Amino acid sequence: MLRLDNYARTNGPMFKKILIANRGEIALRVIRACREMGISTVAVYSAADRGGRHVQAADEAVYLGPPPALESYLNIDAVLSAARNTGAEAIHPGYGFLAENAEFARRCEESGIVFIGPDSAALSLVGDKVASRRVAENIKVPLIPGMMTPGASPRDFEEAAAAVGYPVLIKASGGGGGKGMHIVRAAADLPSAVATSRREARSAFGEDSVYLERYMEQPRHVEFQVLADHQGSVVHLFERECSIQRRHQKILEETPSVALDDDLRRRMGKTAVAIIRATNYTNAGTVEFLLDQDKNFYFLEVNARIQVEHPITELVVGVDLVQQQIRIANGESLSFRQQDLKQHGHAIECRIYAEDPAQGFLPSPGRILLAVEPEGPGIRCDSGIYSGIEVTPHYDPILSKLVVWSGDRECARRRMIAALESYIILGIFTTSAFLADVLRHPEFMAGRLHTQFVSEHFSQWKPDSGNGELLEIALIAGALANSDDSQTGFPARKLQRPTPWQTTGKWEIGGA
Amino acid sequence: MDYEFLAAGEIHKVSLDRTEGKVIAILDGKRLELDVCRVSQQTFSLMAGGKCYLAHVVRQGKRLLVAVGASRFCLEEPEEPGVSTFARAAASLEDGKVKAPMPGLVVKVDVAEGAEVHPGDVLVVVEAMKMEHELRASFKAVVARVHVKAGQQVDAFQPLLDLGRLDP
Repeated sequence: MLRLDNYARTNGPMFKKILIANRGEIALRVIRACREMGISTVAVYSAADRGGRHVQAADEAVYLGPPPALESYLNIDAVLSAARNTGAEAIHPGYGFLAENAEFARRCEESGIVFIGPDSAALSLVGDKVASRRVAENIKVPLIPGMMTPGASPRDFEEAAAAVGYPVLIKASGGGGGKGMHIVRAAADLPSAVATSRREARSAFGEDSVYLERYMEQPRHVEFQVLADHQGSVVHLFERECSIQRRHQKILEETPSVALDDDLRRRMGKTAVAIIRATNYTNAGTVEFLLDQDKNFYFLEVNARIQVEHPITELVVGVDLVQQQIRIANGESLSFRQQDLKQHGHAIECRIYAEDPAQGFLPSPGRILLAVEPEGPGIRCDSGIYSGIEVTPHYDPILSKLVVWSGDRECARRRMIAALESYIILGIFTTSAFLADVLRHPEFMAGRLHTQFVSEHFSQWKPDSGNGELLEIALIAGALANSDDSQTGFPARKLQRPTPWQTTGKWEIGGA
Repeated sequence: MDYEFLAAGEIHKVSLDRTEGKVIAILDGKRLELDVCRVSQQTFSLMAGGKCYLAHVVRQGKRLLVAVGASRFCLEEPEEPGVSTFARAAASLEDGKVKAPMPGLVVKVDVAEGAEVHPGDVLVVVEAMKMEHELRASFKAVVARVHVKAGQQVDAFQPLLDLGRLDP
C-alpha cells in the first residue's frame, strides 16, 4: 500500500535549473525532488551555513551574506541576483523566509523568474487574515464569530467583544506564528491587550492592524492540503490533524484525524476547495480549520506554501507534493482528479527541534557531537543535520522531521515511539524524548487531542532519567570510552589513578 | 583502572578489569560481569545479566554525554564533591548574576544601572532561533552593573547584569 507517486516523465519542456531559497531539511527535500526530475539545483547560504547539508547536496551554491536572515535568506535582491547569475529559471522558496512574501513573488514575476507558489495577488489576499475572512464569508464558509474589518477605535473592540462574548482573542491581520495573539477573559483587560497586540504586530510584521474573534476553548486544529493547477483544476488531499502544539506552533501531526468521519471529511474538503477557488489560488496550499468539541468546523486561514508537515500527506495519499509544486509552476495540469485520491494507512510526524522541553522549550543551539538516525520499515527522516554540525541561534530550531507510516494509528504510534527512542542526537537538547512521552499518554492513545494538550498534560514534564540499571551501563560505557586501547576498549596501561579527563582527547569528534 | 564520575549530583566510582574476554566492572562496590564490543569510536554494545544495551558516548568539554537506549546521561568531572560544574555555570539569579540561558542575540535591555527592580520585572530579552526569552527579576534588587547592550551576540552563561539584593 505504501507508495509515492513520483515519476520522471514530464509533459513538454521542464525547468533545467531551480534555485532553492531556503536552508536545512526543506532545502534538502526540494533538492531531492529536483534530482529525481532531472533538474539541476542551486543552493543559497549565509555565513552561518557554509557547513549546511543543503550546500553539500546541491549542484551549485551561492553565498548570500552574513548570518542574520535579513541580510541573507530574506534579502530579495541577493536571492534574485543569485538566480540570474546561475541561470536558474525558477525559485522554490520552501517554508518560512520568503515563502509567503507577496513582494518577493512580484519581484520574481517582474524578473521573468518563476516563483514556485501562488502568484503575488493570491499571496497578498490570503496573507491578510481579515481579507480572507471576508472571502470566506462571501461563499458562506463558517467563520469564528468576530470582526470582519481591522478594529480602529477601542470602542470597535468593546462592541465586538460584547457581541461575540468573552473570552476573546486579539490577532494581527498580517501575521502568524502566534505573534501578536492575546487571549482576553474580561472586559477590563481588553484595552491593554489590544495595545500590546498592536505593538507586537508592528515589530513583527511592520503594520499594527489587529482584529478580534471569539476564543475557542480546546479546539482541534485540522487542516486540508490542496493542489491547484493553472488550468482550473483544484483537488484536496485530505486532512492533517495538528492539535499537538507548543507556543501556538505544531510539534506533532498525524493523518487521518480520528475526529473526522467520512461525511465531515467530505464537507471540510469541499469547503477547502471552495476557498482556494475563491482566492484564485494556484500551486500547493493548506486551508486551516478549527474543529470545536461538537465537531463544528471554522475557517482559520490559508497557508500559502509547502507545509513543514507535508510528508504525512505524501505517505498516506501517495502523491509527491514537492514534485507537484514544480509541475504546476511549470504549467502542467494535474494528472489526477479528486475521485482518484484515497487515504491509505496512517502517518505521524514528529518535529525534532533544538529545544529543551524541560525548560519551557528553551532554544538549545550548539554542536551536534553525534547523530544516528533511526531506520526500519515505514520510517522516513527528513533531516538537515549530521554528526559535527554546528546548530546556530540564527534560524528556526527545526533539526529534522521524523515521519512514520503504518497500516493503522496504533501501529504507527508504536513505530514512532521505537523510532524516537533509537534516534540519537548528542550535544544539544531536542524534543524527541518529550514527543515519545506525548505518544505514550493515555489521552493521546484515545485520540482526545486539542490545541492546549501540551500545556494541560505536560507543563511539568521532565525526562525520565531511566532506572539505576541504565545509569550503571552509562557509567561503565563512560569508563570504557575513556580507556586507552581503541581496538578493544580496554586500558593498555595502568595509570596511577587517572581521571577520565586526561585520556579522552583522542576520540573526541567535532570539538567542544 | 579507576574512574570517578559525577552524575545527577552524585559521585560514582567505576573500576574496570578484563579476564578471559569479559569485562569485570566494580561500580560503587558492586561487581558486574559484561561482554563488551566496541562497535565504533563512540558506540558500545554491552551484554550484562543476560540483557543487551547499546551505548553511545561523546565528550563535550569536561563532560561525557551518554545515550543508553532512550535514556540520556551527563557524566561530569567531579571537581568538588557533589558540585556540578555545569550546574554552577548555569546558576542563575540567586547570586545576583543574571546570565544568558542560551547563545543568542540581546534584543532589549530594559533596565539601567542604579535602577530598582521588583520580582517579575523584565530585565533583558535574549533571542535565539526566532524565540524571544525574557529574563525577569526573582527578587527586589538594584541593578549594580549592565554588561551588555541591545544588538550584542552572547554565549550561554555569559553575564548580562549584576543585581544587588535589597532586603524584603
